[in-house]
Amino acid sequence: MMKRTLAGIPLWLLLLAPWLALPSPALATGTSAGVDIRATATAEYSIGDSRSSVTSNTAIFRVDQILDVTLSWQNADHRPVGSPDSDQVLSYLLTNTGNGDDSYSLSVENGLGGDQFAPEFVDIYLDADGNGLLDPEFDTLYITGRNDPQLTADAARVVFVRNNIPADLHDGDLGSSQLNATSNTGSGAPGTTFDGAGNNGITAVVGASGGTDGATGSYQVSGAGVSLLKSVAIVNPLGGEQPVTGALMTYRIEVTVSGTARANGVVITDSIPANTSYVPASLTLNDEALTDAADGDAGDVGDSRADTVTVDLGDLNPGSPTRIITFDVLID
Amino acid sequence: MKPLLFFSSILLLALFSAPLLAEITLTTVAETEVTEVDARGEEIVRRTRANRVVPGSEVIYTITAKNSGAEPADNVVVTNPIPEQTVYVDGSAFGAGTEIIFSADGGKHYDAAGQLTVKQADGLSRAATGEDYTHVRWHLAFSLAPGEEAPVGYVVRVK
Repeated sequence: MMKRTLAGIPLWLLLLAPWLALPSPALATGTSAGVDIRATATAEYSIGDSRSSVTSNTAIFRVDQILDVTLSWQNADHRPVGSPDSDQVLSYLLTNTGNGDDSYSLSVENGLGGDQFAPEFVDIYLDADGNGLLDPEFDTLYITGRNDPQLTADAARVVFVRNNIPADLHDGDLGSSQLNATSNTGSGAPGTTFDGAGNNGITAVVGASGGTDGATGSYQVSGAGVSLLKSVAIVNPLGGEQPVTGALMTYRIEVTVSGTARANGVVITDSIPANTSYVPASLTLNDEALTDAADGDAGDVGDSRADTVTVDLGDLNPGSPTRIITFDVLID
Repeated sequence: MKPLLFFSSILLLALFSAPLLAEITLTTVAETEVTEVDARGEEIVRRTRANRVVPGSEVIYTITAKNSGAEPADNVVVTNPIPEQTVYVDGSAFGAGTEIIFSADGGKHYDAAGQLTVKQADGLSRAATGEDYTHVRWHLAFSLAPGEEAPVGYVVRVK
């Protein structure tokens, strides 16, 4: 009796299964360049009582090389940078979506629209060790025309672009950088042909990508750190520092800017604590009195926002002196 | 029999037999369509021998059966395996006065489009589509007269 598995599949078939299950090569882009496709027809017919057959010629055509490429930016989000900052890396994935071997020349375009600053191009590296991380010691500095990345059909490679970030940018500013890759075999309007330019001298045809692609990556200045230090001093009319009814509390907020970028439009708000009352005309900034009304000076109490102290400090540069805000409340 | 006479007889036999062996000739042609704009700015679709073929291109196969003999040929059946690296374009098979059937199992079984099924990986069957077809077959419903040609064909898309 034949040995059977639980599923009733003959054992020999199961042993064969790993080979049957071998995936066909993942040809996302289809038939390889240079493949000959052959077709031969046959016919059978009767003349009188005799049945005969005949075979046609074999019609052959060759699959040309299609030139297609895609680039995609790999960073998950804007790369956070300081201002100034140097050698900031953006990662891209270059994929040969054509059906033959190709090489690509790379270039970087900065000064694109729709952003607040233009990164300053430094260099391009090819991910030689394939770990997806730029390590100038192990990866290859790209030199146009000298070491253009070569990719077989469907192969991909990580490309790094390094830019410097200009000084005096504002927190939140965006800067874009575009990497372009163009097929060295040929590019242009889709359908353009290059006789003999393909692998082994076959015809190359520009695909839907035009044989070129670009991808834009971006930086965002996030080097500005605004830190607040809040403290309170209590003066009890009965003596001591117990926060009892009638006690005077002086709040003190110290504002410091750290990091490398300018902090834009810094507004400090602090709500008057519950069960306390603001002491009129007690608001100060850097030891100078501010009126309680929203007027020419930097602060107000309750006007910009109800029951809240609001002080507009404007733009703060890294290294600006600490701003000190104080105000008094009485415990109800 | 003298050797010379023997060879002459063979030669004569061959001469007479040759037309009998090639009563029907079969020609396969692969073509692509090119859209061109003429002097009046109108688009003309021209067929040329297959060139500029890349993945995704459509190629038109035309198989012409010609009766080169002196007798009419009956029950003419033309079969064409769909070439490797290509898929049959649904609804593309043509052939005036022919019954067109397909195989989706390497030519073991033929049926009309829409009647074929293929086994899926899970063991269940589903209707076969053009992508599953392995062969196209034409049954000529008429008798091919001496000198008459019957063109049939279909379109494939290169994978």
